[in-house]
Amino acid sequence: MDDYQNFLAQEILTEDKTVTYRLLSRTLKVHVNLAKQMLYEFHKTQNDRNPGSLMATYLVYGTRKSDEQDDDVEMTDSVSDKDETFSEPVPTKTLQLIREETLQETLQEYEEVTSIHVYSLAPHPMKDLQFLSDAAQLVLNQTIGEDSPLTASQTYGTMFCPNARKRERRAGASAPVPPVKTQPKAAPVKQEPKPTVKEEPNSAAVAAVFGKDAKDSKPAANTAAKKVAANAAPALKRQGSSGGIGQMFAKQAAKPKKPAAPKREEVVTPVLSDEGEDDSEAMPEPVNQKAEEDSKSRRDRQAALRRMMDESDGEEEEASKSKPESPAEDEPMEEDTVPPEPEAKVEEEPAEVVASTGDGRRRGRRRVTKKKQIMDDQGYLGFYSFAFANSESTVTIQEPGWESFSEEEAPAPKPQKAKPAAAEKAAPAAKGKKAAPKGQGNIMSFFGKK
Amino acid sequence: MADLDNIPGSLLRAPSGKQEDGQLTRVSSTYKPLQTFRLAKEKSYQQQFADMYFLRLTKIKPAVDEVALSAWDGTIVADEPVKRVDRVLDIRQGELCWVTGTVYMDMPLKPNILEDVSKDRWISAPITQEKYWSEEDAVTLEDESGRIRLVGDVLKSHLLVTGCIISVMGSENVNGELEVVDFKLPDLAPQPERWALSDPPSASDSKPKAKAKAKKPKDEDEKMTDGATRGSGGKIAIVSGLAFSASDASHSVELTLLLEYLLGEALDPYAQQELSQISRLIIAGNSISLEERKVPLDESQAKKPVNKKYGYDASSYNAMPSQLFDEFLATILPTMPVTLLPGAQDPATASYPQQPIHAAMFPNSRPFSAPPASADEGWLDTVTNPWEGEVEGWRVLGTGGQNIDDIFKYVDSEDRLGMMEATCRWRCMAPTAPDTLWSYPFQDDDPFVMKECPHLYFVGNQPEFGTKVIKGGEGQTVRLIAVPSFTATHEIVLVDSETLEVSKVKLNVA
Repeated sequence: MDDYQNFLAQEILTEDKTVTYRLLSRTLKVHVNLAKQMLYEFHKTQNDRNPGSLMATYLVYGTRKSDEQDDDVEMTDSVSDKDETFSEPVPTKTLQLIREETLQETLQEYEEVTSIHVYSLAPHPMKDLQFLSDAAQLVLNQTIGEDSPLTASQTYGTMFCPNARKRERRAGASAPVPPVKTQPKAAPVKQEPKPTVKEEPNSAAVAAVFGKDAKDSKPAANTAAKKVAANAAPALKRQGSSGGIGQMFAKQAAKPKKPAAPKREEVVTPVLSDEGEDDSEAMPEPVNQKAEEDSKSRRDRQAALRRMMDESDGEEEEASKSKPESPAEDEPMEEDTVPPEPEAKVEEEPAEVVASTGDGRRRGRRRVTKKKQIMDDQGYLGFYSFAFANSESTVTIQEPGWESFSEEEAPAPKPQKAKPAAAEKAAPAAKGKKAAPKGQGNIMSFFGKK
Repeated sequence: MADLDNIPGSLLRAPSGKQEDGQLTRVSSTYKPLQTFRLAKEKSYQQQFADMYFLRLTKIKPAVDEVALSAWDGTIVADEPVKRVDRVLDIRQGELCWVTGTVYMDMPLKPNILEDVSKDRWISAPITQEKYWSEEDAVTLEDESGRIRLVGDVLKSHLLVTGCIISVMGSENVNGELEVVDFKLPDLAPQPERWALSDPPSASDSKPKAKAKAKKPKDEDEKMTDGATRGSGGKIAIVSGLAFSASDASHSVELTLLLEYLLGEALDPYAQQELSQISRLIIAGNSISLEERKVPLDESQAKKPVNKKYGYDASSYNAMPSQLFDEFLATILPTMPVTLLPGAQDPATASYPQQPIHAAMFPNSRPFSAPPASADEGWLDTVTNPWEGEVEGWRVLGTGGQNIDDIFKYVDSEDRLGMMEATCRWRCMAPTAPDTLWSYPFQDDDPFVMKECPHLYFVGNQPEFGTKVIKGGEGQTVRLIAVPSFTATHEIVLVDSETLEVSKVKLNVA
């Protein structure tokens, strides 16, 4: 135990460092209260030998004299006087860090001191006590994630909390989907395996689409996905689908009435040709349901409101219904309430690309159309749906783009909603995969629409 | 006064050589957060804000009407009976009547969205003045039928801001103004019983505490006559405005002291025993300093779409403050549960109610938070602002302070506690939302209406500490606490979880 003297001499006198009780405690693995005493003892022996060679800071805890006339109250007197009357007085304890030089006089300001100990030792007077935070940072870096709370409590005297709950890191929670399993199975339908991990779930989905000729690939894909999900039990159900899109297609492909194979023959034609028609319900927008509910409850309330206000303008009623693509130049307010469905309809690309399903949460990108509102030269604002088709006075344009999402913010699209459109969709999706690299498909379809 | 030689807890002595014994064990407390202010994960912003006022009026009106009816029914002023009027529009000139509606303050200095629109401004102008209040302010009362201006000195007797619901009695004068004789507030909402949502710990659990308490002279809880309902939790610590910063180190030692204090490493064994009674830390907003986030204006305007998909642009974002805060949390969490409310400066949503700070901000502390899909509260509970919950059986309502700061702008007063009291008496904790306090456009429910009166109501990030107890007509008792910003005052607030008595600790570096 006596080697603490050597350690402190080395650190403070030789290396010219500041040592706090916590630093000493962590370095020597002793209890903090013992470390405080060690600092005191070292300070005493050193200063007996060589007065002034060490400067200490003290931590004092107690009650200051009731009338706080000292200058540590930063506000102006008028304010504090005024507000003092609003609040009831409460007992105040003060925890103060004091330099050795001012210890005696500061103690005079206290009515009662319940606790005092040496906080730190330094070879010379500290100009700014804020430098102590550097030493504190050292301790912090040592502390984090180092010991279990129980040992920290036993060794250093940190408070122990028996109820603390810590979530176990799920193994591989953030790891991407391992591609090894799905890759070989998906190969027959794909010309070349996608190199990146990111597209992997997608390739599984594609494989599932062509479940006819690659029957075995689907279960394989699913088992792979399941394997990944095995550690995330609640997510298992979602997981099995490996992201809504793949499942959607898979279901559709299994249905006999709309043969997918002929569709697949025409895939050599440019992507744009047959795209325009599959706009029926191509992208299931989770917003729609919500918006419908919203508008329903909204209608109810508005009806009530109208009764109350004895007025009847039917416009509000209409406003709550979806009005797709009507050039509502003079009714911009109406457009505001329309759910963003119309834009979604003109989409023809795969609605979303699921990138990672590793920990039971889906992440990826989805295609969205963003409305951009601009002001024209006459100062009008408005919402035209077909911006480019009109003239320059058009003030709202739509821009297709990708936006990343994770399950945190959007649930999987409802498979049943997508069913009617899925057959038509399956082909373009397949095309996108087979004929051209993905990125290219996007841009082509974008121009093709015009 | 104090003498070095007779300090009871002095560690100014040579190491005794004996191993320090007596492992400190933190007391536990029961804790049940409520999800009152959680928004759905996907939310629509298509709605109009008017619905909020309508909802608020329909929800609070019955309560005010009841108060007004009992006060004014059959009242005769100057030989004229007071008549009840249902709508503002039905007020007849010269007739003495009373009516309930929403207060709207017509203030020349208040930012006005219509003005912005008519002047083609698309970015809301920075709010320069600290107060909207001026001599020209006019109080008006409105409901879904119309609006009438209120005059009369009686209005000056109480704080009034846009959005609160009151009943006024008076008569309309020739100018079309209502000369107010008297007005009524809904007053405190019904208060739930203690332990309304959670079960009190059994008697056996409270034994250790009884022992610990015996040593402390203060804290005799007279209120509890039966020992069986004594909880095991001793104190709840509330702090706000920690403002971890990468560049401003002016209070970093205080933050260190706070950490050591809460960990129970500072001080002597006796005081440490006292510290072990702190059963929970509530951080009421503004944990991260805002100042480094200033991006040069021209740069942000000329910002090109960034190609980088993951991570952040290190040139425009400094992760240091949140890292420091994360380290702070990660050190405290093994010894103490933490409830974290976001504040105006924190990386959460900007509009009220602020949604929880995502745990991904805190890689080190994250293991202590609840797993994403689980319904349990985490050991590190990142919650909404405002937040409601039950701690040791007491209903607690807390905010990061924006609601009071916004009310502060409306009134000629510095009395933050008075504003807190007013929100309780209005039964609306954020009346100025959505007018000047940004808010989510609620459609079906206005959660800012206080359906139940809390036992403990704290508001963070206030200029200075304050506390008082207010009482309601039906025996409701509410402890109000204005929690000061730690950066400014270096104070933390301790609330006794049995008596709701408040004390504070000031950290001082001299």
